[in-house]
Amino acid sequence: MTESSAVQFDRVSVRYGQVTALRDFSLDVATGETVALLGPSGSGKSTALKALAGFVRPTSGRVLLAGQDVTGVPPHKRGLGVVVQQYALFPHLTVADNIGFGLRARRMRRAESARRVEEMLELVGMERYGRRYPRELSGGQQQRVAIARALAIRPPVLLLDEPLSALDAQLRADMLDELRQLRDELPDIAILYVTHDQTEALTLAHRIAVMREAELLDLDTAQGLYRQPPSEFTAAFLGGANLLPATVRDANGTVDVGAVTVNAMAPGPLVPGAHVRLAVRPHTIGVRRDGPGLAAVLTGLQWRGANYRLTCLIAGLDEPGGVSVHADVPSVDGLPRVGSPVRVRLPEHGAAVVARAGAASTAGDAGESSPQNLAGVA
Amino acid sequence: MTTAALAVERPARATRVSPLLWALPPLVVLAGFLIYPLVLVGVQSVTNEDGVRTLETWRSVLAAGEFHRAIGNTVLIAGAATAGCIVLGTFFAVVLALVPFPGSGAAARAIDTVLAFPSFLIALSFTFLYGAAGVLQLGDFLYSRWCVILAEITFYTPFVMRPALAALTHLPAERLAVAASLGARPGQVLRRVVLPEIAPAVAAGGALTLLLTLNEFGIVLFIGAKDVITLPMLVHSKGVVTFDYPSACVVAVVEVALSVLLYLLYRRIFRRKGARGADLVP
Repeated sequence: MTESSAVQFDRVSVRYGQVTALRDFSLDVATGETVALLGPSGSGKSTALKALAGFVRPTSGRVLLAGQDVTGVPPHKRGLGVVVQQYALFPHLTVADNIGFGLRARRMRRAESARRVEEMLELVGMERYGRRYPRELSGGQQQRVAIARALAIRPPVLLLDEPLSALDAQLRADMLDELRQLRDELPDIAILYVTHDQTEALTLAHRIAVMREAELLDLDTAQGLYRQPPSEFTAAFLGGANLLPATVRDANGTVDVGAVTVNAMAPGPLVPGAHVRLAVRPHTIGVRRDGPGLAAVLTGLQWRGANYRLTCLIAGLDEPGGVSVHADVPSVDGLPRVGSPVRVRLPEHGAAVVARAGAASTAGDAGESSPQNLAGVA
Repeated sequence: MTTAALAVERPARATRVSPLLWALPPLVVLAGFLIYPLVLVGVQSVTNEDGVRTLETWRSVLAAGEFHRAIGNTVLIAGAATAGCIVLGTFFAVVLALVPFPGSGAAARAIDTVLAFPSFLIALSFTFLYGAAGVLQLGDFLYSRWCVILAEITFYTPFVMRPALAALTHLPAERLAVAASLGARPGQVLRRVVLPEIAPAVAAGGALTLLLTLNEFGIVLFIGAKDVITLPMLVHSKGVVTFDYPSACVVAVVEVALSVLLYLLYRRIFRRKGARGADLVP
């Protein structure tokens, strides 16, 4: 744990009867840092947040706030700001009373509390809505009130549990911008942001903790995880990368994908001859009727407005039945027809080598093959 | 024939029934079974034994001491029983919903079964508990106003508990968690989040209990407390014991007026609260 750690999970596990919701979870969040817990449903990310907030008691491990062990401390004594998915505004209170709820619970003087509420309303751009009730607000406005309410108590840590998931796509994009601005305006607050949406995680977080099956799988900066995913799961979950079987040609990251040679980024010196996965983002793949590239058949074509998503089946590549890849190409005329043969062109740069689960692929990884170790090498 | 033509012709062919006609059957039933008897009671209250219309019966009943005592007893017993039901019903609902314990579901159902009993059964059981040969011999408690109140609380508590429990099951757990994270201690969460949110349900149950306890007859009759005369008991006494129907009708009209007045008051309060927050409207 560093001196400036606002939050520390120390091997925290949470079990509900026979079900393990969180296993051996360790994570530090520094003051001023935003960390996203990213993962599919049931991956344990919300449980981690609840353990930090004090809503569930860890079965084992410790939770520390600013270096103090708060594992057994009840929620009302932790002083954290919490925003949940459905906002949980109090319907019988006005917006101003909702924001002032925590201040009143702390017995703050009325004048000071009113001043703080005004300040928070201003911070979230809701100055004119103080006297309204939650039911009179839109989803986005309710979300702003929930954030203002959480921030009113001036918490050292702000916990956001999928705060945008109840909003429509356009509003979500707008609120994401606002949250990013807000994050920049609050340099003294550590933020733990739980989401299953990779865009939210990539936009807001300094670091992303990818979770799967109640465990922390990978942890790195947002750019680090995106460019050099340490595991197949992270490569696919964060950015929807295609994973192609490849063979290492040399230690510097040159790999063969079938008959095509690619210079890829590697987490460390590679072991020539090792079987790895090559993570290739759909937008970096080109699809042509002919020319160089991997021979494939176009099996699907989906118009997405700004681009097309093509699905191509590459035969061979040591996989029975071939390998299916997705490519996002611009919306232009003259696309091949579904069922026709095409050539799949891999990018010259930008692809990343990912260790195959259970296989040693880097020199430093010869004895240990966990993806987290690979990240360490990188 | 074109589709447009069909669309034009269809309304002309259809047999249209006036909405008034649809409303007529239930109105007739309502008038026949409820309004007409009430009108008869009202008319009877202003008719003397010779069939002459007069307010003399009203004057004598309203001036009588027993009527004043009956009103006092009725209001006091109904008010106290309702207050007791609100406190106990809310307490049970909060405990059953928020502090679940093994068997809490069975406990809730057991309390619910009281709703299926006739009210006099409670009074009967009280005679075995507090009567001269009862388990708990508490002197004249069985024949006191307090025993009536306790019996009514026992019987009517589920009328408050059930809607409160329903409201609590709809209360999102996140709201309580967020309140706690904001620094509210359990007591504050209860006072400032839980109770305001279930208040409409509790009030609805309380209003129903108040109306029912105002008109409660079985419990008072079975307990048989001599000095505890309520309006329903007075109606019974005037109509069945002394055959003074006009006086019985006067007391009955007062009782109905009291019930309607309370109901209107309840509606008015909740309409006002509803204007402040839609979630408060039951």
